[in-house]
Amino acid sequence: MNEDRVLVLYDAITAVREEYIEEAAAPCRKVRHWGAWAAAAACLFLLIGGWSFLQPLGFTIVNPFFRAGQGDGTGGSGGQDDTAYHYYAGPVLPLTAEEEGLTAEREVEYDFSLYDVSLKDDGRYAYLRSRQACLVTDSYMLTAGEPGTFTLYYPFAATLADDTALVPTVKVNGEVVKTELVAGPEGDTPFSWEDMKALMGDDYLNRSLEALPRLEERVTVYALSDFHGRESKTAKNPTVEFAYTQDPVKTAVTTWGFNGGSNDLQGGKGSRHVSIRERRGSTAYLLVLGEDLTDWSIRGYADGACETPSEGVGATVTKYESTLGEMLALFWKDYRGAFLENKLQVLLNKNALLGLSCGVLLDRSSNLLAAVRTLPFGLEDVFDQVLHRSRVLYLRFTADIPAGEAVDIRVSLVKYPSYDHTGRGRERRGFDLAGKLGSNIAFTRLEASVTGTEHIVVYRQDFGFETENGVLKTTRVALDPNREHWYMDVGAAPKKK
Amino acid sequence: MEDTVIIALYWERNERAIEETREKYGGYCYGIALNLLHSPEDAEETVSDTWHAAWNAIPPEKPSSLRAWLGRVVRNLSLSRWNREHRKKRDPGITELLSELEDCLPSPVTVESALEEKELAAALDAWLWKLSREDRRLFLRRYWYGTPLQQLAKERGLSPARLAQKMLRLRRSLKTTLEKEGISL
Repeated sequence: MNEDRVLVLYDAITAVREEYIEEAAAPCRKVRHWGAWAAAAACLFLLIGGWSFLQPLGFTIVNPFFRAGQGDGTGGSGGQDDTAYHYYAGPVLPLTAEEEGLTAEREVEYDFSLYDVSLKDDGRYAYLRSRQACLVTDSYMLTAGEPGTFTLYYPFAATLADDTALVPTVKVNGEVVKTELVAGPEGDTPFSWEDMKALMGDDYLNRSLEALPRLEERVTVYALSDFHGRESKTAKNPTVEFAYTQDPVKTAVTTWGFNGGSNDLQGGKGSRHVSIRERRGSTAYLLVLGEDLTDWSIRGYADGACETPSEGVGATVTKYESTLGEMLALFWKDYRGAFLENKLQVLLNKNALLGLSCGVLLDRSSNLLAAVRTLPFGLEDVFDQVLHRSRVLYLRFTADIPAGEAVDIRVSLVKYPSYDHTGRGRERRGFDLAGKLGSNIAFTRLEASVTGTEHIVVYRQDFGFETENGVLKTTRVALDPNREHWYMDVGAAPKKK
Repeated sequence: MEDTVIIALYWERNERAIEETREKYGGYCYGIALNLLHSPEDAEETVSDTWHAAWNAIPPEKPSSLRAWLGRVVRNLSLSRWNREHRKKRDPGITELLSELEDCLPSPVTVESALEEKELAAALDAWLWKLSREDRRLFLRRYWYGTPLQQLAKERGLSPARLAQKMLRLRRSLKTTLEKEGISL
């Protein structure tokens, strides 16, 4: 054992902040919760019309649940209920509805045509092929006990930083319909089917639809703008420092747009600095919650370490009062510009993003001062969490179901595989199916089918397909609609000589 | 008794401070020491040392969270005792924890960089912040409080094997974070 090195880490763990030590004092809970505030997430209103996965070159898609380096390193043991992947893509999830009383026959088709090694890597498919994606069609013949207009929700696993190309397309009776996007509560990154069940827990859809908090907490804003200071031989990194003194109990300070700083929580002294050449925007903000600063000053330096004062470096400070909610809304407007146009968050209602941000803070602590003090760097950390935490998103749409008739609902989506990035199973790609998770629809029939089978070998599966030496001999199976989960691990078939 | 009152007793050099600390936090400190040292006798001695350490350190220290501060002292004293007496014996407790924490060690970096305590602390803090509350609690209950895996598994309603898998993923995640930050231990 590298004892000396580990002991350094042991000491660092000993010194973690007190809030975390206090937080961990009580035993861990069995049931997951999604936040101190009344139950999570945003109504994100997105109108989508059209098949969105056939995008031209240039889009990038982020794995919804990938966290680099996380994994047990034991290799791809496949999608059994009690095993995990280093990266778990999540299953194909079933349609659900706001109203009760619906029944459906369901068919799910997994199309592996992108695994065809002879396909040219053109702009349309290159990225999807590189990710070994599968094209899924999830179809329903939906009937209702009583005729009417029904509000339906199609779920898919993603983060808000994912590309819009991941959003499924929905057809009702052959016509593409407009959908609204609803984001569910964030949760622990799932690495397996069991984790996925835990992420969604009970009543996930209803929790997704609940109202979001808004923060009316008053804040004192110190806005730094009109930065001036040129780089030169003697001033290699002109930097403005805002130093302050605060009451460590009655005040909490956070920032937006600063590059760094320090904060002595116990002593009450702190500083934040902005490197003029590296600043993110035209204005940097320091927000004070609770009692105002007892003292502050602004000074220019020639270097990023703030060691060599420089008279020619400085900024203008404007002080005013606002609310935390208003400032978060302003910062979201600033933040959105930093992203590519094809990310989900760009399409989101700004109030929804604001609500999610408020929720992140309140989840840290219902006491806002304490919550703000837990932010390592600034409010950018809140936004990072909103965008990158795992969640389930829903496409909401309506369908009229007449008496005695069935409505054809067809959802087309791109599924990335689950996989291990090291270990003996790293060649395998996992695709799984959820039978009932989160759905209130009674499924009377369920079938699964596979196309493009000549391009894959099957390592493991429990759908019930007949296989011989990894080759599928049957491509359609009937499944028990009461069962909750199936999986298959596939790989690209060897190139034929 | 409120922590502020207890701390005030220390500052007044009133020996009641130790009695009150023992009454309020004796069990808590003993629990941490026992988790780390796996020896009731050693744990008792460590806790006794903790009261002395508190008396000597306060003042000038004025902990904002007396519980967390005492916990840190217990951890440090437990480690010292382990270093002195148990290292070679490979006793469970700290030995197990250190062995597990080895998974978090970043690979050696090729660029020379001196370890800054602040950098490691900042990276660890940022990593902990990004975890969900339950994962953070799990990590710290294991590696700060020394809670045995079996007990944690029971708390979380998981099989020990599943919990061990989860803990391994958390350790690997920390390792990746430290490597990305270019931290060399």
